Amino acid sequence: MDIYNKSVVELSKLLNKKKVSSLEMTDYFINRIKSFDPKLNSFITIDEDHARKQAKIADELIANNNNNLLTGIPIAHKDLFSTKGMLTTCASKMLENYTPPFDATIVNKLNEVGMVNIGKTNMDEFAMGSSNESSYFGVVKNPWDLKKVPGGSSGGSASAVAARLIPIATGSDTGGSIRQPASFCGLTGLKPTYGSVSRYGMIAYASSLDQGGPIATSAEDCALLFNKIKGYDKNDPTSNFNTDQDEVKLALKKQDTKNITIGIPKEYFSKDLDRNISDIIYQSIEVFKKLGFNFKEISLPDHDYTIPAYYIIASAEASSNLSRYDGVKFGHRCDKPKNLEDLYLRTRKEGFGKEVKKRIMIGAYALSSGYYDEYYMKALKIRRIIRDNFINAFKDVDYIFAPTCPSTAFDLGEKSSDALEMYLSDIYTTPVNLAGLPAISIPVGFSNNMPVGMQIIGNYFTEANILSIAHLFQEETGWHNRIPEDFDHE
Amino acid sequence: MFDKSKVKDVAKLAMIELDDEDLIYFSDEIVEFLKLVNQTDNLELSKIEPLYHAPEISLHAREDEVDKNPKNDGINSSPKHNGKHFIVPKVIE
Repeated sequence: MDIYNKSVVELSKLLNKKKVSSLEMTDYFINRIKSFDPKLNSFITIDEDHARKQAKIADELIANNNNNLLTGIPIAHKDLFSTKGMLTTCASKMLENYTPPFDATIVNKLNEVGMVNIGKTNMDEFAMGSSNESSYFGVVKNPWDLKKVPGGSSGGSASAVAARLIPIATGSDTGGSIRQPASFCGLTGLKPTYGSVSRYGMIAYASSLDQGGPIATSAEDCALLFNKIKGYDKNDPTSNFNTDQDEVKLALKKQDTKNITIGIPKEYFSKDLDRNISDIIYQSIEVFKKLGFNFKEISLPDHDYTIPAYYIIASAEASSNLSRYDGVKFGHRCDKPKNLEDLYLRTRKEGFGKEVKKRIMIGAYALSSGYYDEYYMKALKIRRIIRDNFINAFKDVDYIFAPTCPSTAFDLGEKSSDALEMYLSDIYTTPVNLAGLPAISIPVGFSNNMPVGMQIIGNYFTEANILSIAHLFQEETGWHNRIPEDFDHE
Repeated sequence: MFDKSKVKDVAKLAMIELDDEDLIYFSDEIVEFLKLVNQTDNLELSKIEPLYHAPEISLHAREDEVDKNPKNDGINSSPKHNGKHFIVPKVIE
């Protein structure tokens, strides 16, 4: 059974034509994970019994024609989505033994359509990282080069999909954590409009920035998953009523493209960007031009202030969100606490890793009396400038193209001792989160045998069109179908 | 100036116990981070309003009703409980 290299759309056809059952497909991918994942460490939990149970239900749905395009398709969830009865660790010692009593809305919706959850993917601890090196469960490796990082924080999801250990996975994007690993691993990753996908049951890092979404090989597969996870949810007070209830359709045709203008922000193509990446993106722009799209240089000023503002806001929100880990209600608890304060202090010392502690402390400092205006308030004002710059740009152009990252995947250990270098690798992704906009990263070529990603950024709730634009490109090119050589076999 | 004594204060606010090695590590790391943040010092922001939430929509609230079928049976997730209560070290002697 040679199906590892099939997209979700193709696997769905095989299931519908009864060429393969969901149970057979599930066993196939479980065996693939067992064979290949020891090289990658992309999974934290594999739950074979749970997966087979769901696969049998999916096979019944298919037999009774009660299925949809995702029924019976195996998926893996980033290990910050709560899964009832299945470990949810957030890649932290703090939650090493935590089994949630409920499902996240994303998980619940995908269970309801009959997807098969095989397990939970590795990530940076509490989603704080850009390389998947801060996981309590060890670093994840990039299937394109095992000496390189897969990106982060959804590094396990990206590594697993790139090696075709799973056809599709969920991720979350607070400052680029879907798009950056998708870019480093040659995949397609969608960060939806803030509020369009429920955050209920998604373990919080920075609540005003966090957004769940799909990581897959193609825009077509991302659209399938996005259709099933989006929508208003009363359990998430930041869920947006304006989220389009209609199914996203990849309806854009070549004849429509002449009416679409795409902005190229000059600040994003400065000397900070690797020259090879810049050249590859401009080559892909030529493909888009042949498809009929119009291009225009634009300016997104104050871009350099994004990283400080992002890390202050995210850390401030993290310091508040992670105060819930106190050794009382759930998660790790220190041994024999002398008193309540000792319980808090030692539980948090033992349970959190270094990067998480640092961000909690930066956040506590930025929110503390005497420093609130100097740091937190200033960051929020910069956020408005960044958001307004996008709004102004969208008066002039319909979409914006930008690099996803300033470089291709870097070496394991290369930036882990230099936090600022690591933070600066998020420079092209964080503005989108501060503004709450949707963006997709698609593979557009290779530099030194490593994948290069490009973002398509849209105005609020334009997922249908950015997915469509990505799909038109993927119909013309084959970058998204490339598979790392070491994993391109049974 | 952000030094080891400041790290101690912040660690107390954050309720994280630090040892001497941690104090050195985190004061170095946070000083470096603040250098990055201080690059924003020359920005004129007095007329800019803060933006807490990008969509600027008002958050909606649920009806103030108890869920009769709570999905979150939280007590069993506690590392120390008696089935009805969370157990913590004695607060009042």
